Amino acid sequence: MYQSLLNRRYLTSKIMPLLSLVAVMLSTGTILVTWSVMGGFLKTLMESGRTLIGDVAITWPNVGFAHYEDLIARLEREPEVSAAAPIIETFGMIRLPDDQLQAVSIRGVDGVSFDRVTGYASTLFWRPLEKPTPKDRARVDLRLPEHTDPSFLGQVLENGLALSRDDGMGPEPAVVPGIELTGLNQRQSWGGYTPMTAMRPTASGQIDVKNIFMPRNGTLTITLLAIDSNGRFADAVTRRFPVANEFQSGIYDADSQIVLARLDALQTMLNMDEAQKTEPGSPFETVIDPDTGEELPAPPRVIGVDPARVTSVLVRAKTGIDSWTLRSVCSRVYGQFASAHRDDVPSEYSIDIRTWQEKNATLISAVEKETGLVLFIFGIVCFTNVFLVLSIFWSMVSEKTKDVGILRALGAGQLGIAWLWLRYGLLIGVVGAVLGVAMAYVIVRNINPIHDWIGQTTGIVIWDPTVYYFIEVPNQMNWTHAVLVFAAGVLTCLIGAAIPAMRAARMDPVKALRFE
Amino acid sequence: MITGNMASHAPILAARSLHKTYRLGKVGVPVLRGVDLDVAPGEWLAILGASGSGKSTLLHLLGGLDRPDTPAGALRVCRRCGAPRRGLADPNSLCSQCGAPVEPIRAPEIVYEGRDLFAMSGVELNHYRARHVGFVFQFYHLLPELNIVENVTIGAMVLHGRVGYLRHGRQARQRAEHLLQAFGLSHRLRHRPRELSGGERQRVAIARALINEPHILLADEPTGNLDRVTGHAILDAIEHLQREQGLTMVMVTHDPGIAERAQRTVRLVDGRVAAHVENSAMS
Repeated sequence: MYQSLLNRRYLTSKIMPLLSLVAVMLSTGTILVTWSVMGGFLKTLMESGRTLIGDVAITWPNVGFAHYEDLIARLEREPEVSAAAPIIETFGMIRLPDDQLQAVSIRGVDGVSFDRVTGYASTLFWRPLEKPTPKDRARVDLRLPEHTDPSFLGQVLENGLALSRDDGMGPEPAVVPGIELTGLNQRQSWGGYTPMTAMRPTASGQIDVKNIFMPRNGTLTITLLAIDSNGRFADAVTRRFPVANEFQSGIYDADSQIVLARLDALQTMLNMDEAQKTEPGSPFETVIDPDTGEELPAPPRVIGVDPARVTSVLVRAKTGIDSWTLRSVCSRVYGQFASAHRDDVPSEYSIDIRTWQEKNATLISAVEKETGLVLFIFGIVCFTNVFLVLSIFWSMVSEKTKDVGILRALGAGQLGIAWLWLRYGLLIGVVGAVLGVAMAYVIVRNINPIHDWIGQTTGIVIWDPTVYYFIEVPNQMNWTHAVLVFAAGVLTCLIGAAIPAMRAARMDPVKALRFE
Repeated sequence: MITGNMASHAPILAARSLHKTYRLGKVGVPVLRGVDLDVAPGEWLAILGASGSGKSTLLHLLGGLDRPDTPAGALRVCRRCGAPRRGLADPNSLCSQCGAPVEPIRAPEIVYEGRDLFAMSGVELNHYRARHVGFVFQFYHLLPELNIVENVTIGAMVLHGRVGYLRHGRQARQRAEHLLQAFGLSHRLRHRPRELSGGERQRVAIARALINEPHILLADEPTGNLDRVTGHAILDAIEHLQREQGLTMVMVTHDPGIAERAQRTVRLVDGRVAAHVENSAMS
């Protein structure tokens, strides 16, 4: 009882406890702000890592596997599965408009089903905007109605979804490269992109200004090495594709190295489309040409159909189903599928079924290392806090030595005296950590205005949208982190107060009473 | 030694063979060299002695704040030549200087109402200090952050603990206000100690000592920091309490004029009881 009275009075009448309280508040607040922003950044990065992959991928690389429509139908009957989509993953070369050659990863997708699995539509960058992005205060984004006709951009968006473009001769298969791939889009300080403008002098002495907007009239030439169903390389195939749109997934590597093409076009190029299965006729068998009457060697005999193939089927889980559960479902379904198409598809033991976390293991490992680093720094700050509280409490216990003697004379026991100081540490920890969490919440929620204000007044832009891949600083606070930081703040105060509390408890009351 | 005043009563507090040595670095300074003392119920006993005679130490021992030396650790002194000697109590040991028998040290004890303080557990000793004795110090020793009502009630908080104080808190506050009113401090209830005069502070300290209705009041130079008039006013208050409530009081002082107001005076010289004097005999 006397402990709570004295704690209240010590807290309100002394400057030193307020200093330790401020120290706890600042340390917990700073850690939480850092953790929230870093955590938000990492979470966004991780979520972006899921884009273009879905939750689980069933893959048989290079050669691919047939009857994928049946596999997709079987998967979509499962209650855990939201959608499934076929894709082809391969590598190739593209020739850019400036004649540069670049090695890229090429994915053949069906726009509609791919969108259902990966949310592809939301990654298409060129689309009509009604209002500017948060940092585009000057409304310079070309996607705004005052700069570009919304119906044109609407058409570009549709083209992107269908992966086709109509240049007046009917729709033809098109490609959607990542926004950074061509190098023709310039990232702006407001976080968006502006197509580059090419200026070249003409023979008449004028300057010809050309806006290089790929989805309007740009084309990319893709060269692939086709592989037959037996895994043998066939000839290199080159084809020119119009650009339908450009995507921004949120991962620089993806946006600078992936080109999406229409699945059927890619199947044709890679000889993965449906074809007749033939076998050579007997060398002694001949047929008579009805036109010329000439005797010719018999043509190969059609013995069946070689079905179309894809290298992967991407699967999306229903809400609430984690990717690991989904992987089990996919394994089971694939086992049934493989049994139904024995000898036509890879066995369930050799097929590669991986979650998006497994496919992004490198990225996630980096993310985890960064999180570990943050936690390490967090630990050091907490440790510093222990010594800070310890030194302040040590000094306060020295100052209050006589009080300890008085309380002992009044009958207070050693445990009671220890609890007086521990409780005081607990109080400072709780009040300081609550204020720290509150401070962090206010800062995190308003971090973008604060960041903008710092940029405007000092010119220092920490989160530069031309460097970072996110327009806005993450401003969500993770309450689990908040609880952990709060507990750590309180715990550090308790640990810091423990040694001074023990010292106070073990004081000789007679010496304490004589203390000057 | 029991005087006539105490003859009819068993002592409420009895001290036997109290030795105490303080360490100053490697040097041991004996303060108490075997004190025996009886205090009768309701008695006002003054312990008179010069500075350093061990009177405050004796008061701390009586209040259970300190512990006496054990026989093994006590510094014994030859009564004839004063030569110090350390060691276990041995009834046959002789002084190495003069050859006189060295008085063996028996185990120290302070018996309060039949119980030895040093046989009590820590919790029991804390309860003894909180419930059965009240301390009054020369320098008041009030807690500066608390107002005077809180300074008085804190003794009750210590005694009853959190749960007990919920039951006894109201009663304790009423008693505190009653005591402060009796000491003429009813207009100062919310004041901090720094806003009071020395005499007022000492009256608050006495009220605090009395909050749990102790049986014994242990006062260490209660007027030592006050002017003569204020000091006598404090003594008047103490005397009034002692007479009205039958409180047992042990008061330490170096001033014979103050000591003679008590019923009996014990004079301490060099850590030993030099004389027991009935108040009427002392002059």
